Amino acid sequence: MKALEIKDLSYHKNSKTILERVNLTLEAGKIVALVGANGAGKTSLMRVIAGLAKQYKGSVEVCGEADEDRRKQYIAMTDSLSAFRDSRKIKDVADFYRLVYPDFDDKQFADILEFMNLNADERLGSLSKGMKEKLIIALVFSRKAKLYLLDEPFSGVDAMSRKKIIKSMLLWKPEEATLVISDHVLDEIAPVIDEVVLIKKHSVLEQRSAEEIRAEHESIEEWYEGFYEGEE
Amino acid sequence: MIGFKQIFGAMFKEKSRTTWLSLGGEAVFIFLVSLYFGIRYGFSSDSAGVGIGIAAMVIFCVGIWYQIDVIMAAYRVNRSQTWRQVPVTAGNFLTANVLTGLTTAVIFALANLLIFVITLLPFNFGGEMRIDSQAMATFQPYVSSIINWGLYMALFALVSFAGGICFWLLITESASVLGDFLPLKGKTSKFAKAVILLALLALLSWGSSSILGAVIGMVSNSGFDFNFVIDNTGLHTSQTDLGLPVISWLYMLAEIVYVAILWAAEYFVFKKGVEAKK
Repeated sequence: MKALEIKDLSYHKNSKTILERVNLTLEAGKIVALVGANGAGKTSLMRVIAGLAKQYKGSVEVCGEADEDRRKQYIAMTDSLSAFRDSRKIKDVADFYRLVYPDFDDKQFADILEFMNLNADERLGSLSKGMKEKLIIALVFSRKAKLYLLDEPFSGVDAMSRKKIIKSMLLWKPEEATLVISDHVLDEIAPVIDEVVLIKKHSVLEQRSAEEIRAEHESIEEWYEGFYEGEE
Repeated sequence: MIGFKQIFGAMFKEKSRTTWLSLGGEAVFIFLVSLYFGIRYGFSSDSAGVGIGIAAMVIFCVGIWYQIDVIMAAYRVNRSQTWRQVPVTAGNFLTANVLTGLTTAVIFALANLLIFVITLLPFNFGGEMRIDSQAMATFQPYVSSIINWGLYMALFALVSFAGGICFWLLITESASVLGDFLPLKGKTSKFAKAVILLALLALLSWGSSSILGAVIGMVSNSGFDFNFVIDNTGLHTSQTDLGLPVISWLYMLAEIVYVAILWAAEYFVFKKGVEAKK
């Protein structure tokens, strides 16, 4: 079953090309790394999929659903929580998620929160960048979604926690769900991924299975770096 | 997907936090000021009335600020990634956004009325509030007409406020969406958006006055010479044969139609072009 199908997607803003003729199909149950340099269009691609970016051409289907409003029900995406003031507590944010996402699992949230060493009574303003990233990951995986979109989720998380979280994601994610992780650093997520999608020059340059890459190259990282050799 | 009830509930819960916080702060300030003047000069003294004056001024200023904040909050919700990720149809989202703004504004207005009445109570008990029985007797036959008119105006204000939210969302978001199509960047893009915003503001304001003007023209015998007159014999209209109830409801109908047009236009812009902020 296809979790995501994108056909001829182009996205321009202020006459600037952000995505050009993107074609991408992801099967259900996979863990996919979306890689590319800064400004390649990874975040924009995720925003288009999640229905947050508009004015694009082409079609996007999530679990067979093309309608922007309806496909949101299948997606859990990382969010900066900008709608909440610093004075709000973690439990207030959880209350909000419980109200608007029917697939929010309270027990799972409590378990992940404990795993992350976060206290539900802590205020958002008192969280460090890394702790906030952990909270965002906890909120995303507390939903039983079909497609998880994680946009550079580990940017502020310390190395030890990062490894623990990456391993645990496999347990938190429902088996049939697809997980897309966008990052420009591959070494830590490389062991768990099934597929790699490389975005370059505003489009999908490569989509390959991680197994194939591992068989042909020393590491996924080495394969990825090969696309940028000779570039500044 | 969630329905209208759930999205309305979630938005109301979030937005009403500002309502309760503002009301709490305002009430504490007003009661402290009233107590200060009441205790210092005595509740039966005219000088204690300064407290009431300050209370009225605070309520007026905070009321205006709050209405602006409600409209700005609607804009922030429309642009927020947190809100825009919620699985709900664009129609339900937008309607809930407008109606929660309206509901909190009504709660705020009623609570302010209550605060003001409570502020007046000590003066009432102190014997300083006197009702002019002669004036009351003059107005007595028209009280029901004045109450009806008050209710009508309250309803008209509600429709207008909902229209105000749609109006603001439509001009700001249209300017932003149109600006995104232009091949401009940075400050030039912002300037272009500001110009578009002002142009839309002028255009829609003209549209608004034209619609109401057309209604006036339709119901009056001599165009804009039409007006409402209120005196101690009640409320009247000039220059028309239709009568006050018909004109009032035609006015209301015109306003509702205009708000519906604004909502529909905003729905189109929102659905097709408004992106969530990164």
